[in-house]
Amino acid sequence: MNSEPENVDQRWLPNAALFSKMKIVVIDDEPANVALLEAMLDEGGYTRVKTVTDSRLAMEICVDFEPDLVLLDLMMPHVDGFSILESLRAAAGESFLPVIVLTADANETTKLRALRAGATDFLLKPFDQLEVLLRMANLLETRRLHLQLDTQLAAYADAVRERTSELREAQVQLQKSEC
Amino acid sequence: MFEVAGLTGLPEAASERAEELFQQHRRQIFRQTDQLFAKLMLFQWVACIIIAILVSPRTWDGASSQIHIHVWSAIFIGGAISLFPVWMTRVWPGAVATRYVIAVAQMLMSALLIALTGGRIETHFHVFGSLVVLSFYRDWRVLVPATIVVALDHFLRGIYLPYSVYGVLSASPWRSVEHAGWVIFENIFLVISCFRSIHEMRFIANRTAALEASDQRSRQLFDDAPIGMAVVALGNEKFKQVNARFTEMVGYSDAELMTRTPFDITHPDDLAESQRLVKAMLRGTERCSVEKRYLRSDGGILWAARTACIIRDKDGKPRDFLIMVEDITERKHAEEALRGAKKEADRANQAKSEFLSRMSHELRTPLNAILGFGQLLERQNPTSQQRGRVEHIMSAGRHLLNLINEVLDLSRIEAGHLQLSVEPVAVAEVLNEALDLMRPLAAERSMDLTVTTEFTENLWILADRQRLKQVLLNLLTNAVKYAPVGGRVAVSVIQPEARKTQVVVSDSGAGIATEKLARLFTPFDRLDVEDSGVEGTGLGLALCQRLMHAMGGDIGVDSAVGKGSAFWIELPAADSPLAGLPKSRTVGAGDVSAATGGTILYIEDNLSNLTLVEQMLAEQSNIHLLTAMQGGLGLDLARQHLPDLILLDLHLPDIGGHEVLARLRSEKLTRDIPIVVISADATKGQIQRLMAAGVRAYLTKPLDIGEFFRVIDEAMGSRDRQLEKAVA
Repeated sequence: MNSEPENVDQRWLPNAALFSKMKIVVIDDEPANVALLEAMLDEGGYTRVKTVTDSRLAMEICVDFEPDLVLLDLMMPHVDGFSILESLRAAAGESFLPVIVLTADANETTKLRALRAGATDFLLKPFDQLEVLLRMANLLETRRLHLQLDTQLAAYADAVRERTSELREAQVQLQKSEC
Repeated sequence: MFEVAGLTGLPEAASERAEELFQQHRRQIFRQTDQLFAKLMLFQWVACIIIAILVSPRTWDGASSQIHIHVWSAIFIGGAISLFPVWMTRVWPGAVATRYVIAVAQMLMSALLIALTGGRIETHFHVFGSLVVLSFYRDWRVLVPATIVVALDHFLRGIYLPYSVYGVLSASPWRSVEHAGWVIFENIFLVISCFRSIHEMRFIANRTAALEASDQRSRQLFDDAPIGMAVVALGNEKFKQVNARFTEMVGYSDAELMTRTPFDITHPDDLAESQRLVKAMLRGTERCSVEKRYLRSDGGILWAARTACIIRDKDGKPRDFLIMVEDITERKHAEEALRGAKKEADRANQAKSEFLSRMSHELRTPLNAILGFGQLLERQNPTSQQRGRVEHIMSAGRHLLNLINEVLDLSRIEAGHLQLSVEPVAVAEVLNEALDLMRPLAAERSMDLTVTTEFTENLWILADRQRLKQVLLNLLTNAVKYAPVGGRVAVSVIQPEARKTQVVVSDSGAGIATEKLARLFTPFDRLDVEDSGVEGTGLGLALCQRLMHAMGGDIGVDSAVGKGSAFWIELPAADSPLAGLPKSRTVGAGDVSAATGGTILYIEDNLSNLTLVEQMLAEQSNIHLLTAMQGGLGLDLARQHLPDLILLDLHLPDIGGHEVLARLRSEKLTRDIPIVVISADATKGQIQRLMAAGVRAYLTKPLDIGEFFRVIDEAMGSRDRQLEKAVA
């Protein structure tokens, strides 16, 4: 819980701009927390943020919105964070979807349970905003790289396919000429 | 005289009893022998008459005859001799006089018989036989009158009627002497035999008395034993004998028990077990103990500690059971009450833990909003007045958070949930880390922070590294906070005893009054400094004390008002784990094989352990070792370098080892890296849980070098094979 140095201004998180277009979903039943996170994310430069206070709607919104990162509370009425975690993991499949769990439950077993259920990171409330933003940035960077890798892989696959058909064509030509 | 064997050593009561038994036996023999003589007398009388009639029925005087004097003698004298003693055996059986009279009469009968047979020398044998029969009395004295009678008879008749005794008309007086001599000759042996008999009788009496006494003691032991005892017959399993305590315990009378078996009075729930035990005993278990319930006659339940053993007869065949029963009803009730109380206490404790955990959650949620919006406000260019106010909000919020954390810590320790990893720790290392953290605050307050003892690198103590640092930081913070600006804080390390090490933090503060010292470690008691403006929760020292105790150490303070305070912590000394490491290892069987080279990441906060592994791997040129002293850094390194093996300590300062493990296993990139856990606490359950969580192997500190290399080789080898498979 370190207080910010005096000279920090709006540019306190320089690499935030990189991820400003990344989509964030906040799932927390406590309106004050949601408001706090919204303000923090807004300050951090995120422009595409969706918040959910009714956990029953969480999955629906996530499927529609296709977030790049999820901030998730654990203790919620109706559907708790653990089941949401499992659903998220099931929905995300092989792709890398970072989920940061934010909870006031200081119990060690809760933390391990959340990580085992597939949480990417775990932070205890009250949290330090800078820490949350930095961790988010790290995970989004990884997400970006993953996506990039996927795109490149797809591009390579296309290139290989193209090259293969070219080669095949060339082979056909060659056979024809030999004949 | 013969010595009476076996008499010595008998207690007085028993020797009296032995005398009594002896006399009783004698009386019995006297009476029996009297009876024998009574019959013998009558038989002899009849025999006399018959002999007289056969030998000389009539006496002839010319042609006239009359009944021979012998026949009359046999009838009248024989009757006179026989009937009186027979009468005496009826009137005074066993009396001394009776047997003397019998002795005299028996010998007179001999004389009569000899006379009746006309002094046949063969008839003299009757004398010898009579003496023998007299010795049946086992009283040598009766032989005296008998002998006198024989001798007198022979002498007198030898002189006056030699024919009637020797069958000749004149006999030499020496003949009587010779006859008497033979009688005395026999008497000598008869007397000896009498003494022997007496001696044996005494011996038997003593043995009987001793046996009776011992029997009596056993019976008394059985009857008066403070535990219930019962003998149960093996055949029908019914009670055969019970003592008073047993009847009192079960409430049945002796007679009622004799018609019952132990199973009849056993609680139905314990019946099967009791029957099983009896069977086991019949199969050869000599003795068995069990806690079981009996049903009392009044319907109550008797909890008993029952021991049973088999009583065998002299051939070793089982005959009875001996059952010994101790009433443990009260103990059982106390145990039950205790169990109940413990359950209750556990539940209360559980409830307390749950309450604290919930409270912590409930308090953290609003605190998150307070501190969160506070942080936002701080960054929104507040005016200086607003900044001051926000600072108040933030500092109060942080204080509250500290309080929650410390209360939670305290409750964890008290509930025994705190996990400690006690291992050898270098004092210098931990102390330096703590001092480095304290220097900025000390500098802010222009305080002199010095180490007065040059502690050596070789000083090791047994402690949990993180918790030790927490305690040291707490003591140092207190010293810096409460001492006046510009003061002095000194740290020293001493060894008050051979196997103990103390770290002393002394300050130049105001000191603490003796009467307040006792309250120092009480939670929330800040010794009236609440108004001094120094922030604190009043939990720090309480926490320190509990932590020190949990680590097996102690904490204390010496203080005097105006002179400052010296807080000390004491921990058991330890041997350096580096001591066992050879300076230069030659490549041998324990080494990592050349084929399995690669990168190893070791995540460990204890510098000495890091050094140890570094040194062990120093000569392995094909192994590149990465080290991280925090969990977070370790995770970063793992993601960046994707090492071939990760060695993981479980107790780390920032993120715990379990969490590092969970994260490594949940991320796609690091999921397949083999992980070997190195930790000081190796409970079976712990190892099982770790293995279930995907750990390849578990090494315990202190490290066994051979084992270490074997595990590394194995883990990295399997990784290689996996990669080869993936490539293929």
